[in-house]
Amino acid sequence: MKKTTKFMAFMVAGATVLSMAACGAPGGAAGASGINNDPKANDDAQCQNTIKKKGVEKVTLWAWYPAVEKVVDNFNEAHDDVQVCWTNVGNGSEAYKKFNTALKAKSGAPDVMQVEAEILPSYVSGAEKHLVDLSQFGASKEKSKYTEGSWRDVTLGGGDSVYAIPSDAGPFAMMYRKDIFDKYGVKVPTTWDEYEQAGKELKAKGFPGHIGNYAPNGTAMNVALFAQKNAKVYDYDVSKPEDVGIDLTSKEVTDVMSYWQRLVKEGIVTTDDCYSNDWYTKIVDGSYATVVNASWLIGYVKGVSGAQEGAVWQVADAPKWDSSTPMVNQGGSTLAVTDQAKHTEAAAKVAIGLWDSEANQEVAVKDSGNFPVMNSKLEADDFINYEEPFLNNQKVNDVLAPIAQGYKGYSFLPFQTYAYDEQTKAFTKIVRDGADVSSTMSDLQKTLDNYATQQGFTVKK
Amino acid sequence: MTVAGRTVPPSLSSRPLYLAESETDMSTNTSKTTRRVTGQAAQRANLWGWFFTAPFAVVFVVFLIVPMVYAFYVSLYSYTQVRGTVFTGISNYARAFKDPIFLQGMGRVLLYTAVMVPIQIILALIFALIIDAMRTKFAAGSRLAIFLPYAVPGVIGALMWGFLYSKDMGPFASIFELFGMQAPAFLSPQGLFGSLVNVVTWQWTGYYMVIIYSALQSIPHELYESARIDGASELQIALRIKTPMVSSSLVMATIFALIGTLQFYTEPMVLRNNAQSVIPPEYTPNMYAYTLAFNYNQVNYSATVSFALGLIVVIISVIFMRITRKQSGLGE
Repeated sequence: MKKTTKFMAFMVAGATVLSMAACGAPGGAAGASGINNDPKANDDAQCQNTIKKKGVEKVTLWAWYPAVEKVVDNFNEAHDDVQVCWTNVGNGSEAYKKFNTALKAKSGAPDVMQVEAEILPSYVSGAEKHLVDLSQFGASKEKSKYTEGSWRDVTLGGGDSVYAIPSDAGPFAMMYRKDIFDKYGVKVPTTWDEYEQAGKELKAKGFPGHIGNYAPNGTAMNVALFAQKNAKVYDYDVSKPEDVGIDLTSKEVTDVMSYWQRLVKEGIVTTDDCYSNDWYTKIVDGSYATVVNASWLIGYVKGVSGAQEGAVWQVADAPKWDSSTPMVNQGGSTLAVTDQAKHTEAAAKVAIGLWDSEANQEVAVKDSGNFPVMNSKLEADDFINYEEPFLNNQKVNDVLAPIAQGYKGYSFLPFQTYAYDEQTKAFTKIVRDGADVSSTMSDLQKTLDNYATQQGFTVKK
Repeated sequence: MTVAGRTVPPSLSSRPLYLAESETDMSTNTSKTTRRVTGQAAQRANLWGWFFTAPFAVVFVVFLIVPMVYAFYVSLYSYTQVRGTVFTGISNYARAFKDPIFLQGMGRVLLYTAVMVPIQIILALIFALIIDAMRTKFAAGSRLAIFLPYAVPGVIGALMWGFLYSKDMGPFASIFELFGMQAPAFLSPQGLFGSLVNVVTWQWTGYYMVIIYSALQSIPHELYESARIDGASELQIALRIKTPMVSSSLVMATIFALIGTLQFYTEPMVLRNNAQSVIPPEYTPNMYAYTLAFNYNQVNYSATVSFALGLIVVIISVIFMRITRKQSGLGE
């Protein structure tokens, strides 16, 4: 008895101490949109890069772009008032996990953070307002430097606020094996109808592989396929931060899913998971005649071993539905300033200026393999005329630049990670198990509606 | 329970431990008069007792009790993206036990438990009995070979199997091709269950075998001799004498397997990289807790799921220990 009482007393005491600690500052709503002014706070920050200029204010950066160290060095060399102190805390989801932890702890987050455009809404909605509106630091006048779509994505709804500076994009395009199409005498498809036709022809003429693959787990890729039909499946506008739009039951969405279900049934495409080792192997070993994906995939495919000999890759526009099909984008990152930035103004300067130099745009293209979003680079002669050795010296940017500049922007949900996981389950049922498209999609709609409501959002009808 | 040691199995050590426990019980329950007489000595003994247990107690409290209390405290709040964190009492638990995703995951691990635990324990027992009956150098070699997978870290083991199971890179594809057959789809919705059972059995059977084997080592050989004189065959000795004599170790190994399987995590999490659409992120309750906390930013509900899982594990373990009271020697 006595032991139990003592134990209980200990438990209660422990809980009280902890609760006091945890209740210190409830909620995440940062006062006055999280502007701070302490230029000295980062003096002892640990950096992955070597900062040569001593005694200069530092701004911390978390980023995982390839070759980012070169970018940081170039920036630091060109600036005497501020130096970037960079750390790579992991790619994408790894970095977000650490960022989330730092946000919960209310300390430890970087001043500037690389955030994928589709994740931005997760950090500006409801109780999670952690990104600083950069329009107050003169970001708005940068607008004309960037492509229309990439800029709209960082305004989160097309308003005057600017929550990040775009750094790269993923124009949606089709990589195809010219040698396979030539060998079997099949025309390279430019529309989705031709794509189905070409798939049937390749199969009939004895091509042992498939024309392509529908990956149920292709998160942004599958959204891009909807975007091609002008379907706004996910909608979010920061001016109404508690409203979300989810529309997965429209005719356009049903059409797209029925199309892929039919192609799978006809045996024209496979349903392998993407971004897995098997998938990369199948891309290079001649199992697929086409891959419809973001342009940055080219950089990845280049490095995969086990490539089929004599493979001739080319890039073309992604197949279209009809003449009204818009140019779409898949992926792309931005630089955002967090509400934990010690000196917000300096952080904004870094976010705005890091990639904005001729030298760094060059690094972006040559070393990082990033597709640029700055019009000056997209229209530069050396960029447009660049001949990619991997693509048989095709002038690849001649194809891709118009897609990037034609992209008008898209929206994502404040809980996009969850939506992606759920959409993957639904798409898997449709293409692998042949589940009924409209009922599966309306189940998915219900699941996401419920989650949104449970999280306190209002679902726009 | 080490590989080489002829460690005493719990069944044999339980009696003196039990006695020691009852002695301390008695000392705390004795009347005040007797306590005064022996008070000083007892107090000194007590102090030393505290002194020796202190390092463990500190670690136990700091790394287990405090985080658990904190997790429970966190689970009483609800976080929503729009409203932030609010106190909601036990309503999270009501939600968890109605949450189809949590319940499906729970159902999955129960199924794994029902299939995987018997396979592992029976295999471990068979191996232990065979190795115990062998008196050659081969026995030591096979003992090591069967135990070795346990020495491979779980993540590495799962990565390795992920490669072996791979449709295009794994060796099975080419092996089956030799015979003109197609390799089974290990990481398909149909093949996944068996594939995961295989990985876990491969990894853990050796460990349970060593536990049972060391218990077998401590059985006095006179028993076998008298059994042989009575005309028992080797098989009968194995089934009628050896197996009942190691029942307490069997129970212990089963409890380990039970708890391990209910907390299934590493293998599906690692294999998920190769089969994202086949293994959803909330495949098991532990994976669900992880996903909630780190992918969906739902720390409070994640704590609830973790606690609910812990509760279920405790209940199932207690039921199992009650059922096997006689065999384990814990019920005396």
